[in-house]
Amino acid sequence: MNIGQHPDLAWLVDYSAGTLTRGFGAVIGGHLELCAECRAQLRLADRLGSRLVDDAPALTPRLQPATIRAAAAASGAYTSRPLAAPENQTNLRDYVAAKLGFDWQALDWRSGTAGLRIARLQDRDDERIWLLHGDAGAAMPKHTHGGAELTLILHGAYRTKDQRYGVGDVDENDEAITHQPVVTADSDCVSLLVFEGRLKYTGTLGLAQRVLKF
Amino acid sequence: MTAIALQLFKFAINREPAGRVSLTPVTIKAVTADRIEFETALLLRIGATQDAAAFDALFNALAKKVYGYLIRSGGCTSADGENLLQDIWLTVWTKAGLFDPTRASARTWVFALARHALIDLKRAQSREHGVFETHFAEHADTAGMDEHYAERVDGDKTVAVLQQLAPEQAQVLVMAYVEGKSHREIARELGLPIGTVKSRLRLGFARMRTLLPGPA
Repeated sequence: MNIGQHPDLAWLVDYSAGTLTRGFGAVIGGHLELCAECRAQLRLADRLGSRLVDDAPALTPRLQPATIRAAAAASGAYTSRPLAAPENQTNLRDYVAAKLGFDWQALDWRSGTAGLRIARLQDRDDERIWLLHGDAGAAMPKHTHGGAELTLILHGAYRTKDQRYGVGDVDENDEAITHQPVVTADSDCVSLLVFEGRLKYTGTLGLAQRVLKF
Repeated sequence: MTAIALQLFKFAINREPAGRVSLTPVTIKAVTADRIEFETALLLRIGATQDAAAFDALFNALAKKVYGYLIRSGGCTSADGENLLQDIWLTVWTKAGLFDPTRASARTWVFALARHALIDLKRAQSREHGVFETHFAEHADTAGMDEHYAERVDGDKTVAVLQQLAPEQAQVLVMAYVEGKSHREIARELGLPIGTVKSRLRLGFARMRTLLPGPA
């Protein structure tokens, strides 16, 4: 698969270090499923992390391996086998549903502005996780952000002023960026949107947002 | 003692024929490819057949490093360290089937479990205390950076490979990997623009690419 838009390396370091929250982790994990280039970067990030452990002085613990095996037997723990999808055939819709624990058939879609529907999976200030469905040609209201925002395209594509984002691409934005994604004319578009704080609309909708405080 | 050990990490002392002592940067030693392959074979065997002998051999090969990291770099008490070590190796025993040798070596996989377990503990502890450690905020300006970094060296938080980087690059990598902070948290804590943190990570990474040759 031809992935054109990648997250900044900093997100891969966060992923490798294990510091990403649920939603941001799902965006980066989904992108990695399809992007060989970022997987290679992640492998280097993991090797760096591994090296930090390797460089630590060796210390002998009291714990013995037999104790661990006995504890596992007592708790009935078992070895799990991977449910590996063939390389590059991962269906991102299935991936994010499994990762975030929701059912596509049971979502509560609400209408947004013309041609847009939103299903809110999590709505906390530190991290909002939304699914966004846009009809072909639909435009998001122009907006900026209260913090970091990552969008993973799950189906279809959208354009911003200077870029096109297709399946597996990550669109990275923050408080310094104002943009207005527009779904391409050839298909509808489904994306996973994860962001900190609130979207801040500009224009008429922005005025309404400031008056009505939504 | 710690400071002396770290200086030994940092420099190899070569006695020249004339009897003078010179300091040269230590070279990055590589774990041999044979050893990496052997560990990976052990982990695959655990995943396939839950082979107790393979598990014990892998534990004996890697657990001391993991424990050393939890205690020395992670600053765990021995009680926390032993508990985490048990959780980590219980995961190795029960989830070895998830290991994919095309994505990482066994060493990288096990050490990633260890890093993540440590970071989960640190983040849980910081939530209990309400905030992340804040003393670094006192050193937010770049002028204080070297002193700040030196404190980390004395605190045993840096390791040999990072000594090859510019201090400001090593600093962000330590904060990410050892202290478990995201790049945005690092920017907030150091009072730096996010772009600066990203650029330091990128430069440190580019240098690492030359220092960590070879397969995963």
